[in-house]
Amino acid sequence: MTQFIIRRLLQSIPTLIGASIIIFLIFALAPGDYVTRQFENPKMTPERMEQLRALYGLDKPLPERYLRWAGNMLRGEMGDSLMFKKPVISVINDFIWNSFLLGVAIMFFEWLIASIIGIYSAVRQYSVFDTIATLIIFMLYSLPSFFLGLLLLKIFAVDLRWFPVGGMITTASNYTGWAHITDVAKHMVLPVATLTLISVGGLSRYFRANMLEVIKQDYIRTARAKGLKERTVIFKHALRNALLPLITLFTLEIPSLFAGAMITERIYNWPGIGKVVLQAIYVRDYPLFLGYTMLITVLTILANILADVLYGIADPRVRLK
Amino acid sequence: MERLTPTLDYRKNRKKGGTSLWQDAFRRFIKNKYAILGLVILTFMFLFAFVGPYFSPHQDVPDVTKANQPPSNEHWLGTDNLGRDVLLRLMLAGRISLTIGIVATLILLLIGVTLGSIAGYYGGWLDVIIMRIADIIYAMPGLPILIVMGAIMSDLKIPPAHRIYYVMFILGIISWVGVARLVRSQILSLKEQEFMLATEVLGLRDSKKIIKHLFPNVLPTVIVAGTLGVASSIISESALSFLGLGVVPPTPSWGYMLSAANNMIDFAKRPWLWIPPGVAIMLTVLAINFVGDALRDAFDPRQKI
Amino acid sequence: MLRKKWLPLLVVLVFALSVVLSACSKPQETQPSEQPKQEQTTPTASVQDSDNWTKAKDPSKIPEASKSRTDTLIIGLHEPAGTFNPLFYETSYDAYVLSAIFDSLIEAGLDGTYIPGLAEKWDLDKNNNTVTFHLRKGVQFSDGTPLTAHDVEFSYYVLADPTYDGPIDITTAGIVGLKEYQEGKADKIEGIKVLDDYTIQIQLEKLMGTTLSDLGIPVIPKHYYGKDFSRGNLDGVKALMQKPLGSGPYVFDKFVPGQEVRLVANENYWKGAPKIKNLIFKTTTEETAVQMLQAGETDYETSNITAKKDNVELLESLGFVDYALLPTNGYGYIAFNFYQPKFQDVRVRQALTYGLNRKAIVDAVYQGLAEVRNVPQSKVSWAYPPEDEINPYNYDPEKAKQLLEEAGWKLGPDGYRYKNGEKFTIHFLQSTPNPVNDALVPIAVENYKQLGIEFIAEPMEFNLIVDKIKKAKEKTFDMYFMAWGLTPEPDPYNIFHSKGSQNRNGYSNPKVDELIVKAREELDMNKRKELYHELYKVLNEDLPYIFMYQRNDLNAKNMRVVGFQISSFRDFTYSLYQAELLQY
Repeated sequence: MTQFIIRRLLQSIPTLIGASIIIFLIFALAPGDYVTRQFENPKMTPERMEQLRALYGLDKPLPERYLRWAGNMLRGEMGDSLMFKKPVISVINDFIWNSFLLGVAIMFFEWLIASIIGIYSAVRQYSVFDTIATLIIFMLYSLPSFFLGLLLLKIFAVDLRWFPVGGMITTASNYTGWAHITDVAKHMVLPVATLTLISVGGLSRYFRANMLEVIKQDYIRTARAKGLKERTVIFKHALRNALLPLITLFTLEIPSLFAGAMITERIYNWPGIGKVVLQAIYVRDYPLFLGYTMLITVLTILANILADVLYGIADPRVRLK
Repeated sequence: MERLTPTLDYRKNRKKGGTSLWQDAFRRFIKNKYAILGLVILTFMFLFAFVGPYFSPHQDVPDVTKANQPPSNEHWLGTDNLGRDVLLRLMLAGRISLTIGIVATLILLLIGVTLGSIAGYYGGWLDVIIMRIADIIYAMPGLPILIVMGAIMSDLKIPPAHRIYYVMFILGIISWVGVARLVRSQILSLKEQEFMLATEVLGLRDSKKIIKHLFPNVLPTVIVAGTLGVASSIISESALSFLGLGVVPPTPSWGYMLSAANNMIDFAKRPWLWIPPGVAIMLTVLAINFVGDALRDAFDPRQKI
Repeated sequence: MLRKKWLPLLVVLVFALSVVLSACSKPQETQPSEQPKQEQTTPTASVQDSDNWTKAKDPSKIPEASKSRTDTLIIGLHEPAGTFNPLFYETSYDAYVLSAIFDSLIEAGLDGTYIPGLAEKWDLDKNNNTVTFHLRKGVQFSDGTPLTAHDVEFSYYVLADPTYDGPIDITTAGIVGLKEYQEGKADKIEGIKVLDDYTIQIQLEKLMGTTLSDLGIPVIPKHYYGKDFSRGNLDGVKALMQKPLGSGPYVFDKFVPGQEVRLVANENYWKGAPKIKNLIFKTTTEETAVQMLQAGETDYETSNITAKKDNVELLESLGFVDYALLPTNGYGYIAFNFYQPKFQDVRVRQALTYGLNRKAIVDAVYQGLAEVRNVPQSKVSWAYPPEDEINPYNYDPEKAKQLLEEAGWKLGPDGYRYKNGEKFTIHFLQSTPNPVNDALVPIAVENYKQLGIEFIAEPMEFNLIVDKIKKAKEKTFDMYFMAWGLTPEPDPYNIFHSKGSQNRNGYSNPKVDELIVKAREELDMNKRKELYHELYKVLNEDLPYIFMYQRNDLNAKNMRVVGFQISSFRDFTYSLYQAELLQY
C-alpha cells in the first residue's frame, strides 16, 4: 500500500509539470494581455503600454516567462495579482474559504438527499415514489444554474422576502459568534439550494443504477432466501457493494470544494473565488489565474490518488499494483 | 415476483438458434411505457426543430416596431426584444441545441469508453499514461481553452457558421475524463470475476474479450453516463451562452434564449420569453433520461422479457 | 394502475403552475397610494437634490430595513478590486470609493467646466508656459496633518516614477524635465517647483487648453505614503493600497473583499463635516441592483442599472425611489478599417450610415432612453455643436443605394454589389457578450442585405478584438463596434489625429489634424468652442466612424437620502459630504 502511494506520488510529478506547461501555454497564447484592457482608456499611448508591458515582464519570450514563473511557484511564490495589486496567495485566501463554505454545504446535502432518493428508488423500483422523485429530479436537473438561481432569488428573496437578496453578510453588520453564523447561514440557503437541487439529480441516478445492479445479483437472492430481514439485506449486503464506484465520485468531488461555482457566485453575489477567477480570465490577470489553476490541479491529483487507494481498500477484488 | 424457473417460457418464445442480447433488450425496451413516451417526445422534438420552421409564416429577421409582444394569433408565442417570432426561434434553436447535445456526447463517449477500457484492461504503462493525461485534462479549466480555441479558429478564418462545431468538439474533449474513469474502475472489478477467467481459459482474443464480454457489462454505466452527457452538454451550452461564449447571435439556441431572458424584469413581465426554452430543455432532458433508463433496464439479462 | 398514470401528470401540472404563478406575481403590489396622514410632516433638508431628479411621491413605501439605518448610507456598486489609491486604481468602481476618501486639485463642475478643488485658484502664464496652483489653506488630511504643496509635489513624483504602472499618464502633460528624471539623467524634475507651502508651479514645454485636465491630479499625503519613497521604489506606496489615508469627506474604516467598503465621516473635512456619519459601499450585481434598492438593503444605485424603459418603469412602480437620467460621458460607434480600400471613399461610408437603421438598434437595447449621435461628443458638453449644423443621417436606404451607385458599386445578378469584380462584403468583429451587438448584428445583416451588401459577423471576446485592431493593417476585418468614454476635456487627439496613439484604423484627414491641434492649444474658452464646433462638423461629414448613440446613466436613490447635485460631469461622490438622511 505504501509503495503504491509513493509510486503514485512520484508519477504525479511529471503530471504536474505537464499540466503547468499546458496551462501556462494556453493562457499565454490567449490573445491580448493585461495591458490590452487599457485600450478602453483613450489617453493610453502605445509607448505607455510598452512601458507597462516591460514592467510586468510581459514582453519577454515565452520559455523565459514560463521558467521564471515555474521557479517562483516551486519556491511557493505565486507572484502578485495584476488586478488586485497584491500577492496572489493573499487574494486567493480572501475568497476561497467562502467558496469552500458553500461547497461543503452543497456536497453534504447533495450526497445525503441523493443517497436517500437513489436507494429508495432502487428498492421500490417503479413505485409511486420512484416515479414522482424521478420526475421532479429530472425537471430540476435540466435547468441551468443561472436560471434556477435567479428564479429562486426572485421567488424567495424578492417576492416572499424570506431570504436576503444575495451577498454573504448583512450590510453594515458587526455580528460575531453565533449571530454571525446565523447571518451567513441565512445568506447561504438559496445558493446552496440552487446547486444542490441541480446536482442531486445526476448523483441519485448513479446511486439508483448501482443499487439496482447489485440487488439483482445472486448473492442478494441468496441473502433473501436465507430469510434475512430486508433491511439487513439492503444495508448490510447490497449497499456496501453498490457504494464502491461512488467512492470514486466522492473523492473526485473534493477539489471542486475549492474551485468555486462561477455562475452561481455571480448571480448571488457571493464573494467566492469562482467569481474572481472569471474576472481574472477576462482581464488576463495571469498570475492570479495560474496560481489558482495550479492549486486546483494539485488538489485533483491528490484526490485521484486518494480515490484509488480508498477503492483498493474497499473492494478486495481489486489488487493495487 | 421473480419466477424461479424462467427457462421454460423462454424456450417456448425463442427463435431457432437462440436470441441475442440485443434482441432481448429490444423486446424489453418496447414493453417499457416510459421508454415509449420518451421516444415519442424526442421524435416530436426533432420534428419540431428540424421540420417545424418550414411551416412557419415568419422569418427570423428583426422588426423592432413589434418588439416584446405577448402571445397573439399572429405570433403564437409572442415576440422577443427585436420583434422576432419566438415560436420560430424556438424551433431553430432546437436544431442547434439538439445537435450540440448529441454530437458532443458521442464524441465524449467514444473517447472516454475507448481510453477507459484500454486503461482498465491492460493496466501497466498504458494505464498510467492514459490516467495521467486524464488528470491533466480534468484539472484544466474549460473556459480559457474555449477562449483560446476561439482565437485560433478566428485566425484560421473559420466562418462563424461553423463555430457550433467547435463548441461541440471542445465540450466533448473536455468531458471524456469522467466516463473514462468510471469505465476503467468497472473493468478493474470485472476483470477479476469468474466469467473473465473463463474467457481466458477459452483462449479468446483480447479484443473479443473486451468487446463481447466486458463491454456489455459496462454498458449500463455507459448508458447512464451517455444520457447524463446529452443533458449536461445542452446545459453547458446554455452556460456558455450566459457567459457569451456559446453559439452567438443571431444564431439561436435554447440556452441562448433562456439566458437572454434571464433577468428579474423578463421573469416577471414576459414569461413567453423564458418559459418556452425552459420547457423545451426540460422535456428533451426528461425524454432522454426515460429512454436511457429504459435502455439500461433492457440490457439487464436478469430482467424478465 | 389508474393512480400511477395520472399522479405524475399531476406533479408536472403542480410544478408548471407554480412556475407560471411566480411569473405572474408582480414584483410590487400596487396599492392605491394613500394620502400621507395630516400629522406627518414631510421632513426637509438643508441642501436639495438637483433639478434633474424625478422625485418619488410615496414615503409610506420606504422599506423598514432602510428606515432603521438612521446614520448610515449604503451605496450599491459593482465590485471594486480593492486598489484603494487614487493614483493606482484599477476599475472605475474603485474610483468611486476613492472620490470619497481623496480630493483632487481641481473638480468638474455641474456644467463640465473645471472649478477649484484643493487648488483655490490657478494662474496660466502663456508666455512662460507655466501653471501656478494656489492651494487652499486649512485643508487637513483625516489624521489632522495639514495638506501642503509638498504633498502635491510628492503625488506628481509618484506618477512620474519609472516603475509607476497605474492608469494616469502624466507624460502627456509635457512637464519640463520629466523625461530626464524618468531616465535617471536627473534626480529632480526640473519643471516642478514648490514656491511655498501653498504654492506650486509647473513648467511645461507648451501650455495648452488640455494642460489643466492633465495636471489636475488627486493628492496623497507625503508623510504617510512617502516614508520609504525614492525613485524606482514605490513599494511603500503600494503596501498601503488597502489602508488609504486622504483629505476627503470620509475616512476608510474596513474592507470586506467582494462585499463592502466601510467608511466613517471625516470631521476635519474642509468643506464641512459630512452630515451622514457612516458610509458603506456595498457590492451589488446587475441582476439584483434594483431588488437591493427595493428591499432597502441599499440606498443609492448607479452604474449597475441600465437606463432602459423597463428599469425606469420598475423604479417608478416602487413609489419611494427618486431617479435621474444623466447622459453618459461617452458614445458608441462602429469603426471603419481605413486600410481597406473600399472605405476610402466617403460616399461609401455615408451610404453605410444612411443605410443602417441606428434608431432601431438603439431602441431595441435602451427602449427609447438613448439617442442616436452623429458627432463624437456628449450632447451636454460645452463643445457640442448646434443640432442644425450637423447631418443627422436619418435612416434612408434609397439614399444609401444612390451613394453606392455613385461610388461605383453596382448591383450584380445575385442581388449583391460588385466593383471591379469584388463583392461588397463586410467582415464585422462582434464582441461578446454585448447587448448592443446582440441587436446590432441581426439588424445590420438585414439592412445591408437590402443595399446589396453581405454583412458577416464574427463573434469573439473583447481582448481578441483589441488584438486584431492593433493589426488593422493586415486587413483581417472591416468594421467593429465599440464605445469611448469621454472626460470633460474634449480633446480627441489620440483618437482622430493621424498620429493619435489610439488611432489604429488608419484614419487621416489633414483638416481634422489641423483643427485638433489648434483647439487643444487654444486657451480662450470661446475660441475653443468655435474650433470644436467646426471640428465636429468636419467629422460629421467625413465619418471616421458610424456614430451610433449616447445612452444615459441611471442614478436611483431611496427618497430618504437627499442633497445630491449631480450631472453628467459631476457624479454623486461630490455630493456625499452634503447629503442628509431624512427621518420619515
